[in-house]
Amino acid sequence: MEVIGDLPRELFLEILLRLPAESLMRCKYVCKYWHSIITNPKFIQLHLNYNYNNNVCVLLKRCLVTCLGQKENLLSLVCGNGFSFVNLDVDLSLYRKEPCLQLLGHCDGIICLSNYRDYILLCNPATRESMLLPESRLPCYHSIRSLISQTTGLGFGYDAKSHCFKVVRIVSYWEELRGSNLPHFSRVEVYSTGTDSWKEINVTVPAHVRYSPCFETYFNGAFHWYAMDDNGNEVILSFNMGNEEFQVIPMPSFISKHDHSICSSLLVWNDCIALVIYPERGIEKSFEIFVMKEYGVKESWTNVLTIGPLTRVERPLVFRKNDEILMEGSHGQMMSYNLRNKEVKDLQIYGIPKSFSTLAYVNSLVSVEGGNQMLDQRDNTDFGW
Amino acid sequence: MLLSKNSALESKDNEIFEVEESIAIQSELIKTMTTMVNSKAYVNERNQMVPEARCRKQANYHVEQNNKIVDEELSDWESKFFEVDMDDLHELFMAANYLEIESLLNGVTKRVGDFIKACKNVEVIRQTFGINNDFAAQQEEEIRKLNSWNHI
Repeated sequence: MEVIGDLPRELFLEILLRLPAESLMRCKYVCKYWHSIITNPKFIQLHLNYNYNNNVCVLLKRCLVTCLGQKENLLSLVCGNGFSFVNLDVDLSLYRKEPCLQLLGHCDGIICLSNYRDYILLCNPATRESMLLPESRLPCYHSIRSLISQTTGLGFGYDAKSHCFKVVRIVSYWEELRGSNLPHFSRVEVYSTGTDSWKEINVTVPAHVRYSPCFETYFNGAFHWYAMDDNGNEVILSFNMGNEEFQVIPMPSFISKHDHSICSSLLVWNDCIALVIYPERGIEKSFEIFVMKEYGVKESWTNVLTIGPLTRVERPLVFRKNDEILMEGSHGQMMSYNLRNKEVKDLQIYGIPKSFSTLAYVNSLVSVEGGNQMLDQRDNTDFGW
Repeated sequence: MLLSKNSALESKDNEIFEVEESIAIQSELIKTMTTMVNSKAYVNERNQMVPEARCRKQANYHVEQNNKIVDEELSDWESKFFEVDMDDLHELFMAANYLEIESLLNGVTKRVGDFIKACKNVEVIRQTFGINNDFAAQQEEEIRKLNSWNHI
């Protein structure tokens, strides 16, 4: 007797929705009926929505030292009750040994990886589809003077209007000999999966991207970096994927001048962006959390709580399920801090110190090439086919 | 402890089950019926479509579920409850759908999903669920080529 065969379509859908993309990729080949459902863009959207509501987990990139003494990159999923993790079998052979591999961002099941020089890769770890982006169009040197260039900012996100994934790149130019802090100027280009090409855009970058641990975040349709404006103030620089414009978001009032002993990280918490401020060094650290209750409005930064002081915890990584925060410890281990009962747990996940990079991730069947018009209809769950 | 009202449900095979009302209304269908008819005791005519075995399972499921308060006990019990063969699973599925009992539906859906996840490849899925491969050989080949990055 066919258990699944004569099930009404809605029930069959309920089964499929709960399966991970890896199983669905297999189910696609079972028969024509299954194939037609699983490849339907509306089903892909429903599956994605189901996972956003039920199965958000944390994607972790870290470096490990192999038994041959070499450094290798590894992608893992930290999910469920947190202590279990699964190493993703993604073909990262090109990137496994890449020392500067960065996890740029995630959107709808697609992640973006880069070495910040010449390789940028879009990948769906669940379906194993991947795509290397074409080379940059911006020149390495300026034609008029001998300037050296460097990619100072990379961001990844989704443009709901044109239904495509975009990568933005900021390239800055310095005069070789002077070595001053701020670059002469910057140029910006945007890659879109819709055109599969880079296009330079005519904008002024209002602030200069700087490094800060665990800062770069895609939120609310925009990618955010830690930056410094021309007056030396710390700010958040954001780039909106839809209208391709930059915006400067001010930090909370008391942070104005750059204090080298304090770090700030940007995380997403309860559908808002949150700044975590903490000392760079020290065996005991306290982490102050400021939430921007109204996006873009400086006065809405609210100091909601302080974590700690905690011992041998280096930096925050990512919030999980709104009541837990994952953090990196002093010896390259991942820990979790429960905001309710203030418990610190060692998750027994190890790596080379400071090589941890995390993001909130969902499993999906979305293609790296974008173009699924159904993805934007988040509230549309009417399966009227 | 309050004496709860009991509902009498009649199944297709003309067997009558006495079920506590609070349990009976976990089925959305029965809940709707109850609000339309006298709630003390009734014979559910439509329920006559449901064969006896299914109905008994529903009653059992709910009684047990309401008895188990501790989460761990419940999930243990639930995994045992769903460890049945395909035919029974199908019965449960159809019954849960007809009677509109969400928790039961979730349980069965998850169980079938677990079966699928456990299948190592496409052929095993077909065998487990008795599905015929209706792809033409060439179609199948084309699809595999398109998705060549996958290890099916």
